[in-house]
Amino acid sequence: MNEQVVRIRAIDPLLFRDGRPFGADIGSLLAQTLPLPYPSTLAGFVRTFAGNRWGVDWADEASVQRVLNIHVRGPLLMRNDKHVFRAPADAVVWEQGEKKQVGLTSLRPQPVQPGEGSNLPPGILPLLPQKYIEGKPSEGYDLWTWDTLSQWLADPTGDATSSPEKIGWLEVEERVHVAIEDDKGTSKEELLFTVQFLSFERYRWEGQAQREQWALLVRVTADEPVSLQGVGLLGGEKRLAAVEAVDNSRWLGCPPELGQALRGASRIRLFLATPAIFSGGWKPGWLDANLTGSPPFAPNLKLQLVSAAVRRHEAVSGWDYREDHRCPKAVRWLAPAGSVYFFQVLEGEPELLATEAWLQSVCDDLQDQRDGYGLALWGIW
Amino acid sequence: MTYLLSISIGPVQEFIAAARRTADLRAGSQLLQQLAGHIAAQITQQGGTLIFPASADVPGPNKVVAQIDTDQPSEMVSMLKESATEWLWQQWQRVRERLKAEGVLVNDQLAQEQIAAFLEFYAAWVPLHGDYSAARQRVELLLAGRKVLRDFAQPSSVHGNPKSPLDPSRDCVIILNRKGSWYQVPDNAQQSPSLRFKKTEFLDAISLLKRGQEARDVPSTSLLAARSVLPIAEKRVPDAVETLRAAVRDTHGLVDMGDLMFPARLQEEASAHPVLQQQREQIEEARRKILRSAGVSECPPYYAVLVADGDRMGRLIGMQNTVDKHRALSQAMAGVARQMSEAIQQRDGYCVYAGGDDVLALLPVNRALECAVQLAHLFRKAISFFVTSEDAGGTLSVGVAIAHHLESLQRTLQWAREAEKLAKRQRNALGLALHLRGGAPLEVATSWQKDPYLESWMVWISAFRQGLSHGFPYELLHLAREAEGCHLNAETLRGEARRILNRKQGREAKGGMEPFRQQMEAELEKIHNVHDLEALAHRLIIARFLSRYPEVDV
Amino acid sequence: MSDRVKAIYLHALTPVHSGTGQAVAVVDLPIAREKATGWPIIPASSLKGVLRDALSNDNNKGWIDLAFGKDVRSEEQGEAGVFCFTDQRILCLPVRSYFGTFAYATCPLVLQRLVRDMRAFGVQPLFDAVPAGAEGMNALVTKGSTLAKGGKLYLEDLDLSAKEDEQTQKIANALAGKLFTENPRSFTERFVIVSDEVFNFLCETAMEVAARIRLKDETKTVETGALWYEEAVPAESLFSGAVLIADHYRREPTDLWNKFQPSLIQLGGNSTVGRGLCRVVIA
Repeated sequence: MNEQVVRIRAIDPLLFRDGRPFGADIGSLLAQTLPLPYPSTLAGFVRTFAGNRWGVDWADEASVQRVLNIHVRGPLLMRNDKHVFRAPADAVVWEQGEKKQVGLTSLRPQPVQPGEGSNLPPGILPLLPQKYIEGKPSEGYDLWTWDTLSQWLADPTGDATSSPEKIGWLEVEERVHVAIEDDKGTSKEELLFTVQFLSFERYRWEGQAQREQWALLVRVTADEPVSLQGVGLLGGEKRLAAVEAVDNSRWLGCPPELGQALRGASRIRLFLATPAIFSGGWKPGWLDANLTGSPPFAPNLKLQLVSAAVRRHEAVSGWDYREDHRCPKAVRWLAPAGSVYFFQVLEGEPELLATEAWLQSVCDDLQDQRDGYGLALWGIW
Repeated sequence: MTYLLSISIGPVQEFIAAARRTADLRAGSQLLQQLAGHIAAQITQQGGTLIFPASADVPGPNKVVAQIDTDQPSEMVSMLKESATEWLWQQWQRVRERLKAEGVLVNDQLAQEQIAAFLEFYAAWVPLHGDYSAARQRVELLLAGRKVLRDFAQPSSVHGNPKSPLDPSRDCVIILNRKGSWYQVPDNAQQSPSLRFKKTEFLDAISLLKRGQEARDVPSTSLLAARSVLPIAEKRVPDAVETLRAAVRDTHGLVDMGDLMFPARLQEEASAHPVLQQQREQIEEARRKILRSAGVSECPPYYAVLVADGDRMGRLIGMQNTVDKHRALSQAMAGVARQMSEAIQQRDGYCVYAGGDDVLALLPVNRALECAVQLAHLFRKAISFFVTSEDAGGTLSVGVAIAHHLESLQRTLQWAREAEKLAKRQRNALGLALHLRGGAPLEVATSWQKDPYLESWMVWISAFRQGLSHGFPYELLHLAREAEGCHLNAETLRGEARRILNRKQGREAKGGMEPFRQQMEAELEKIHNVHDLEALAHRLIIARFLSRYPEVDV
Repeated sequence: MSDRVKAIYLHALTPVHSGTGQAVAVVDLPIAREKATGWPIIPASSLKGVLRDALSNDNNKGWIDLAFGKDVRSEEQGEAGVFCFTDQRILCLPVRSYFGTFAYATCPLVLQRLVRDMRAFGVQPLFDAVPAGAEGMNALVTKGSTLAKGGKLYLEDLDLSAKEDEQTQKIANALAGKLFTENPRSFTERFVIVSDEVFNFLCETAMEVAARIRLKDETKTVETGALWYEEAVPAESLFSGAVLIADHYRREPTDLWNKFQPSLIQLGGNSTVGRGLCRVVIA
């Protein structure tokens, strides 16, 4: 097995299409970018990159299979070489008062009082804030540093975690392109079209200076050696990204405190570091009708689902580029990154979640696992 | 037993915004309102008492609060959800019949699944005895706890099937024609006046549900842009306007007057509709006449999207400590919603949705500001009875985005929401954003409290009309940039700004500007730092843009 | 790797307005700026289109289609050519200088990003290290610089302290070796590295802004309100970027490169007023 951690850095801003068409019709003159690429996009990028280095014949089914066997986990997002994650869906952040003091509280499963109820799926408890919150949660705390998130995962109540830094999504750069009318050399207003790109750098000098460089980290596992160094095309509009092998220690291990917290824990949380595809939609397919089951990579652990914090689904389809049948793939809906699932431990020792199941996929399907969907971090509650 | 029931339905904003045309927008918001109305009516039929909306006839788009008497609240909620889904299904059946009549076939199974899985229906209930405030707070908490899990099932989707351009998370359900290596919407669907499909509109069932609504006479964005001149021309050259109107009639509503006011649009439509081709010269002539009558050389291509949202409504509702008080507030909301809708129409705009504390409207650029003023005013007036303390909320934040009529509608809505967000940052304010094609967007917030009639805008718009140099804002901006480097004090900044103003009034224009001189100078007095100066310059750039629009005599 | 990549430098001979496309409405035209820094760029798509047009002739359609794609405006994936262009980022900005008339100003961040990307492309960077010391109001100049007198440097309205620096000299020499082979001194003696903050300030203030007017078609008089302000990157600005041959082109690239020898292009609109003339250096 060849294991390699790879950092992918955009040379120029990148476009990750959201599936909407980009045509000359009025009202569709916009290529919109997703806030982050889906795991399969990165997996495809790495495989294409590796395949080209191997000199693979893309028309040959067997060669293509060789490439598809490359297992790509990620992307994890890096900001100035530090890991950042989608904010956990079981946290509420709000700013209060003139000074915008940042408050943080957790959502935890709570039995309702007699007579009360909600139309949650059977067997699922509502998640209620542990502190009273006035007003609406604040926007802009979209991403959390690993420092904060690792505290959060080891913190059963959420009271001991320091307030998160305000980190928003990557900035979007918009460019208006013009189609020139050949005869006159002037642009035709109707043919202006806008393309969005995701900017992987951010420099500000006014007030508090900011210097941010963002990158994506993936972990590549292949049967044969593969050289991952150089520049390749990533996303739409023929934009370039630099690929660079980095030390395997850059991948995240489970911190010892969290490992300790997991040992013998009776209540654990699953945090999705990348979006997951489950046969049950929001619900992992490895849970039975009673919401019990064992996650992949931890077959000896039997868990009971109690609650879940899952934001509105995302969707992925993409294109099938294989030679003779280029066509759109079937759509699948994703449980977004940042989703948190609350379990009771029925059987087994959850400590192995810190090792065997750490940043492994909890998806049901093998190819989705190989594409890097549903990478799990674990915590307690 | 008596329960307090709170229901939230969705998706709302995403659903409404998934629109390519204004008619889709209207249909989407109507569909949701009708759906909420249906749920409200069901509750009444079951003997429940509505709290919000006040009655099933004036539903809000996404929320129902009611008092119900039942022993089985859980079953009643299931019944309500089923009934809502059933209602959607019936709507779909109607649309499906219409499509069939036009020779458009759909994949029924896929459509059925999409309709069944569409509705997000979240509900929570608590026993209601005694303290209404406490019960309401609790039920909203439980509802929020419910909404933390946005449960969904995997959709049915077919490998190779095109995805819907309006919502790429769903498959197209229309049975398409294979055209070469790709697909096309059947010709009859493209030619049908009521469907007007583009050949690549591979719509899903939900988008079709919108497209199939009888949302007639919804003005296009082009028409909204053209309405900055048409009403003026209507008074001055009614025959020219009538020429266009007749041409529109001849196409059986396939184009609207907006399409005829822009040469490139006309060219496109004329090539599609021979009846227009025949009248091309008359139309061109009428268009020129209309533009001349309004004093412009080309039809201004921009229009405005207005969104508004009540500030701190949660807190205000929380203060209504009985069912009756809360219902009275709902009634007031319904009342003001009607007034707002009228106010928008009176200003040649189109009200997509007005729910009192939640408005979405399309407007001609030269009516947008006065409309915003009027809506904020109506809202304050309607709600003043319920506002018992300074910080109780009950003000309106308005966002207006000015965008090109050919810009994507989804995008423009997003810009309006961003402008609203800017207003929300200080509350009780107007956020105005100008999105010129290819230019950097400009956003300026104005507090309703400090400037309820937007005089700080009107004075500059008038001054530019009277000949204030269009270079003035740029010189101010330049001054701001220079001042940033060398820390000028406020008095020096103001002095410099006054000096530039004096120089920029234009000799021949000086007389015309005399009425505004004092006001302009007063505006400059409000500069305290570079930020103020920059904000003023931005406001002026937008004002300058607005000043090019013909003035409407009200 | 490196035989599949070439650096591209642009030297503006007249002011360049590479905007984001605004032609019909009477509005103000800003130049395209990079979101990350706010500094001027020439988008890859603009450059590609212009190079395609500049290099096209009656006899090379095959090569053009292979290199640039069937049609630059086509969005069809399969038809995109094998050349992949990066955006052209600002390398040096000409700035009014009290001594020496004007300076070619750059900053550490510009140089760091250039080195970083060259390394990513597997190309030996022109220089290894970016010198420290260009911070705050301190700037670095070459030996015998015409910009500084008595350790003082005046750019636009800024007073800066200047220090002669060997590393700066090396960078200036390396760039001159690529861009100003005929008269390297004209560049090196005007080369200055200012701090990122100062460079940022210059990128905001040192652009050319010209008032432009539209004339009425028939009478050639100024139309009411038809005055607008157009921003342009000043003449003498330098940009840098790269072009790469995509992986899916499996053949030897020499042939492709041999034909890729543009010299003069015209970027952005307004060719009629002589704008946008750029010298292209492929290295």
